[in-house]
Parts: sequence; structure tokens; C-alpha cells
Amino acid sequence: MISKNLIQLADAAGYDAISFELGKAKERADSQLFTEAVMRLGRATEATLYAVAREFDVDLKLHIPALAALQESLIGAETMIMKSGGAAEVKLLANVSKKLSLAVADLMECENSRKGISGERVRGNARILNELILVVGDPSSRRRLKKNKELLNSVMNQRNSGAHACPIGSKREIDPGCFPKLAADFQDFIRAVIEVSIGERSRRLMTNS
Amino acid sequence: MNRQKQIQELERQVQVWLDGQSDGVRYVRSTGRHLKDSLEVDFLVLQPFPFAIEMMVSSSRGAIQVRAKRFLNQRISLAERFSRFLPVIVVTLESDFLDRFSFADAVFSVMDLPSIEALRENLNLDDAVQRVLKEGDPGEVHFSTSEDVVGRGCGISSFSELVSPHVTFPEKTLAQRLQRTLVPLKAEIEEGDESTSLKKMTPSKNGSMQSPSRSGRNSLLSFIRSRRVWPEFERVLYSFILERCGGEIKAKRFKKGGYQGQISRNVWHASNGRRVVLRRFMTSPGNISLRVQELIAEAWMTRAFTEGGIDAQVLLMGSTGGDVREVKTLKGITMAREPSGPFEIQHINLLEGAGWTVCPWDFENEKPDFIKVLEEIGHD
Repeated sequence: MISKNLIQLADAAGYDAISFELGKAKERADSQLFTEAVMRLGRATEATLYAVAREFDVDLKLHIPALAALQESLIGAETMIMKSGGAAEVKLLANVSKKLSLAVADLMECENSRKGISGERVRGNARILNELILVVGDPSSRRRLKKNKELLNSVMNQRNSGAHACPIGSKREIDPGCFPKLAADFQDFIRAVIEVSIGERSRRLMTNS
Repeated sequence: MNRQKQIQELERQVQVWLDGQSDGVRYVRSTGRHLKDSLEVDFLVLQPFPFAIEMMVSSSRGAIQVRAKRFLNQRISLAERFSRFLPVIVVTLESDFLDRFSFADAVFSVMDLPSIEALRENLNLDDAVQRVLKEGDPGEVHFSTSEDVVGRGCGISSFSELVSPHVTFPEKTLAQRLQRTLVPLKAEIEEGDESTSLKKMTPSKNGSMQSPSRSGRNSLLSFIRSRRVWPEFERVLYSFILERCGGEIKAKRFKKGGYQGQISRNVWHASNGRRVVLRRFMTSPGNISLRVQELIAEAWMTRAFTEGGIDAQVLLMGSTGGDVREVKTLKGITMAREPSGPFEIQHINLLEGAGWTVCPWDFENEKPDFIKVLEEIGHD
């Protein structure tokens, strides 16, 4: 269920963390510990994104502070509105709107603010993948990554099912019957990103760009 | 040394060469057991720089050219995975035929492999291959489902049916026209063969005369291989197309792209200016995988090297079929038919992925599928 060939490919390409996580996932799967195996596959997926992003100089922690603060404010306002249920809390959105106006003005005026800065938190997987799509030079490789966006979303939802307790309080395990398909999906994504990365290495070398 | 032993020896020597390089060479070997696990090539070297190695044992010039199309298909698959920029070198046992291998970025005798450093400095991507990989891309394609294929299954004739005098086809259909041309031609060719074999009759040890006996199946295969069959088949086919759809048929040949053989295609020019490559294709189940690989390479080459571009590539896909025989049913005598063909949905999808519009030999229908496709393309 976990391909030895993929582990070897990651290893030969110099992606030690990916081959390590895949190897651990294989151990768990071979021991019928499918929930743990899915968690490892999730880590292997993230390790793939991180390794390839670092290789092509994508800053994993880059963000625009004013926009990040806005997102925090919006989440805070949402929580308050739902908790109180009163109309007064809706006014919190006006504060968010005001912050947005200030951020827009700042970003319009100051070129440096648009470049972002490296923060402490690693950006979300989907955002890292989006940025990888931008840095890959070959159009067909970009298309391949784009086609895998939904797959990333799907496998990471499954990873979350493996990593988190069930919200309604019942016991939760990954269904052994579903594991082969799930493992194949994870590996399809990982294989696609690694292969695109090897292609990008070749492109840069053979075209001197 | 037989071919299998030659390949094993080559593999051993390539591995010795890779392992003998300075530290830092890392590679994987193809296991080939599972489609996704297959690397498409024998070795994929990843460090110090990515390139692929395909081992080839050269034989006759003709065999190398047939292999060339399949190798181009490998390069197309590799490019879909690792981009068109991944260099591919061919390593062979002999040093005599190096210039005969098409579609490689470099060809080396295993006795004369350079160092990895020298390879890195001197390796360039082949221009013709790059053109095929860049300009031959079919872009967005439509894939049939199993239901589509089953739905198109009626009215399909195998070649053996078209050349049988015992099958009755509906009036004025392409199947009937082909049968009226092919059945007499088959009889004529067989008659010629018999008179030739009579001349070759030799007395056996016990004194009786021997003639090479030929089963019905051999007779069919012999007919398929006759040089006279396909020009006649195409004459009837094209006349049917021109009658139904208008336009004109022009032959197009090209010899480019490092391919030393010749690709010959018939192109239907619709009256609205659109151009459609038409390809007749027939095979038996045993050959289908290899032929599909060749057809994929042909589709990419044709697109890359046809000046002015083409609007579609239509593949008329038929099967040899078996011998037709009569069986008795409760309702009387009924014709028993062989399955419509060796083609499965994965083969059709592979061809569609290369840009072919795959149409069956539904020549018994009043309006076969390929006519519908041509009408649509030729419609203003």
C-alpha cells in the first residue's frame, strides 16, 4: 500500500524527511495501525511541500502582517457574534472594515509592505502549493500541480480525521477498508510534487534559468 | 548471447558505471511492476543532476526504427511526469549503430560512457524531441467512459467478417461496399497463391505430392499482409467519405524529427478548410499494447511536424476478428460472431489522451461514428 519505489525516489532525490515519513507510514500500515499511518502520510505530504518549497526559495513563513491581523480580527468578530447572538457585536465588523481600509492604503502607498515579511507561523499547505505553482517554469508541470490542488485538500481533510478526535464524541479510527484508496491518494499527491520538482531541477539546469 | 542476456549484461555494466562514479551519484531503477511505480526508463539518476538512462540492444535498422516510436512514447510519458527538460540518454552494447537511434539526447556504447561530470557539461536536449514534446501536446482532450464504448458497440465489423462471403451486411453501407471489394480480391489472391504453391509442390518421402496447407486463420493473416488489400480498402473508404462529407483526401508524408523512417498520413481537407488526419488501424489482442504506444508517438509527431496544423486526428480502430462460423439456434441458423475487438477502455483512453478521436469499425451502420465526427468538423 505504501510504495517502496516512492520511498526510494524521495530518498534518491535528497528528500530525507519525506522518505522517513513514508517509511514510518509503511511500518504503521504493515502493523495494521491505519489511523497512525494516515497521520504519517499527512506528515509526509507536508514534508513534501516544505522540502520542495525550500528548494525553490519559497518562504514558508512569509506573510503581510496587516492582512494576517485582519484575518485574526475577522475570526474574533465571528466568534463574538455567534456567542452573544446580539446585533451590537455585528458592529465589530466595522472595526475590521476600518482596519481593511488602512491596510489597503498602506499597501497601495508602500511597496515594501507588499513584499511581506517572514513570520513565525508556517503558512497553510494550500497557500504553499499555490506559491509553488507560481515558481515552476514549465506550463505542463504547473498544470499538473493545479490539478492536484483538490487532491491536497481532500487528503489533508483525511489527515485531520486521523489526527483529531471526533467532534461528536464518538470513537474514531480510519476504516481499514478505506485505507488503500486513501494511501494511494496521499502518494499520488506526493509523487506529483516530487516529479514536478525533478522536472524543475532539469529545466533550470538544461535552460540555465 | 541472446537478447535477454544482452540486456542483463548491459544493465550490469551501467550499474557498475554508476556505482563507480565519485560520491554523490544517486539513482533509482525501474521496477516496472505497477504502472505508477514504473519509471518509464531503466534508470533515473537524480543526483548530482537528473537524467534518465534507457538501455537498448540494437539489431536490424528496421527493428531500431520500430523501437524508435515506442521510445518516443516513453519520452512523452516521462515528459508528462518529469517535464520535457529531463534529458534521456540511450546506452547500448555495440558502438556500430549509435547514429541509428532516434529521439535520444545522447547515445553511448556502454564501453565508452563518459564521466558524470563530462556528461553534465556536454549533454544537450535534442531539438526534434523538444519540438515534439512542446508542439505535439494535444492540450485538453475528451476521454470516453466504458458506457460510451459499450454504447458505440453496435454495427461493428471485424476484418474477418468484411472478407467473408457468408456474412450479410445492410444495403449501401460501408461494410457492404468493403465486402464487395475485398471478397473477390481475397479469392483472387488465394487463387494466385494456390497456383504458385502447386508449382512448388515437391514429392514427399512416400512419393505423394505435398502442398502447404493453410488454415482459415492463416489464410486471413496472409490476406491481411498482402500489399493489395489496404490500397483497395482505403479506396473504398475514402470514396465513401467524399460521397458523404465532400472535401478531398490528400496524402501527406514527412520524414523529420530524427526519425529515420517515414510517416505517411492521409488528410481529409473539409470544404471549410479544416484538416483531419485519418488513420486506419487494425490489430490483434496480442499486439495491442505495443501498437498503442506507437500510435501515441505518431499522434504527437504528426501534430509537431504538420505545417499549418491540423484540426483533428481520427483513428478508425478495428480488429482482425476470428473466423466466422454458422451455429444452429432454436430459431434456425444464426451467424456467430467473434467479439467486436481486442480494445479495452484503457487502450482507448490512452489513445484519446494522445489526441486521437477513436472511432470503431461500425461500418454496418447507415452513418458510422467517424462520418458523424467528420460532418461535425466539416460543418461551417
